[in-house]
Amino acid sequence: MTDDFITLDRVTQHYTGFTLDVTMRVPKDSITALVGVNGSGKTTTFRIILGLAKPDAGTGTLLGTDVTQLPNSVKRRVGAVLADSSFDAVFTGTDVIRQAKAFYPTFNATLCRTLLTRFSLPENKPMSDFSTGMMAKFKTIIAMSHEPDVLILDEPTAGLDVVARNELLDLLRAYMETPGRAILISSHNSKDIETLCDDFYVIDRGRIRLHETIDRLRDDYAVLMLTDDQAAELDRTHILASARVRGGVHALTDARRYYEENMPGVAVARGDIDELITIMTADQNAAPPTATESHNADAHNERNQS
Amino acid sequence: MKGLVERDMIAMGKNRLFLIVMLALCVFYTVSDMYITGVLLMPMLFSTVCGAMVRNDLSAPVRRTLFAMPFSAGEYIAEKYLIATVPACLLAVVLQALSAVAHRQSFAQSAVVVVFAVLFTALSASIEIPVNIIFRDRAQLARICVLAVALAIVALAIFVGVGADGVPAAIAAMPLWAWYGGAIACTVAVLASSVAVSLHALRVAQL
Repeated sequence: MTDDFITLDRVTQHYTGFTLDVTMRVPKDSITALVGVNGSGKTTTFRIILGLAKPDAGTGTLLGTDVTQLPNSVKRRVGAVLADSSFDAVFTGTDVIRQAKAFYPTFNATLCRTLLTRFSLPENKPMSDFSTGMMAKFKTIIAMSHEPDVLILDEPTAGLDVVARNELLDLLRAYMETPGRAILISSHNSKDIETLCDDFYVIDRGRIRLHETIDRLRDDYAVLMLTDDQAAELDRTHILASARVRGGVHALTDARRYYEENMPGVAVARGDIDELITIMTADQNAAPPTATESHNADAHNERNQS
Repeated sequence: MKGLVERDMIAMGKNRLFLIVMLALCVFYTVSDMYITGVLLMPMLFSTVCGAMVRNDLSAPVRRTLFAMPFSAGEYIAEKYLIATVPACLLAVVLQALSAVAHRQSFAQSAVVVVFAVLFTALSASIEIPVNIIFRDRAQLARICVLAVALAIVALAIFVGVGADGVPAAIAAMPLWAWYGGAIACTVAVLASSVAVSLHALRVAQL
């Protein structure tokens, strides 16, 4: 019996000019991020997991159940926040709480109200009067308040100032202190991902380009900042992607120590998610990754992890 | 389904102005000579507004939150039809009962009015709900087109059937039990077809 709370296996969805083909897992007791540029397929992936969109092929499971046939008992164990989602404009916080209590028998209204007070969110104002940041906090609090086993959060910190963002991240860490939970999160803020998550997937043009742990990202990943001459002589054995920048080439590697030892004159910066996404999405003149490439990336990463 | 009903109760409660105007119109029609119009019209109006709440549910920001909640497409459709028809039909019965007392109508006359009110309410819901699910933001335009087509068919049937042997004459000559049976059969058939269309449309919709 798998410990994965979310699995997607060659889940495919075709749109005009865009194809999503995703394979990924979110294990129990982990926080997994899905990162990528706008339009890379993150929200579509989340919608498929929640049963809001039906894939054209492939299989996906959420808490062990097929995502195309999610029963209410499974949906009650999931808390979800999608980007660009909202509650009814005329509903107040009190109305949303009342609605949530009717949908979720485990909804903890006391906890919810405590969190709303902590985040200075009013209960008697209509949703239409909420700012972007207020709405982001409110949606996350409502999603957490029925104490779900899985949280699926699509850009929950979008529009938040640094203080509110840190408070929300602390809330998510506190949520994960209870064993048997998992979070799948997307964010454009790499610092959020690097401080909160255990592992991450990079999605580019509908396909997974990379799956890695945050620990390996910190320890082994690096960006080599090369001149043209250095790039021409580069040993590409451990280069994952490269992109031309003004004045040279940036090359992404998962073997930082190798290049530090063998190319001592090269400028090496520690890998971070922003650079990783920038280089990977700019690689190969924007040729979209094939399904084979994305599965090879996963196999490559799994070999490194073992 | 409990969550959906609670949600619609909250939403309806936000339309205080509409409810007050409806109440005023109900009183007006009941005490006036246009009481039959009131019994037929007010439930239809209520049903139409309930059906239109579907459009808000399916608006882009709301549907992404709403349809991630624990209910199935079948439960959503069932709840919407129940909310759009049951209170409206009860309203028709109450209004007709008050009108019958105020204007000394017989039970037989009242029964005919209520049956037609239920039929028209069912027709309203049967058009409103699937049109809002399928067409969403373009529902207002689509509704006009659907009603235009339906009225054209009815007008054509009446026009073609004018005369002693025509459809209206045949209906008028039917015995009362056939009237009631036909109206109930019609209501059930229209509702069943509408539910099937709505359910299919919601299941294939990308939310």
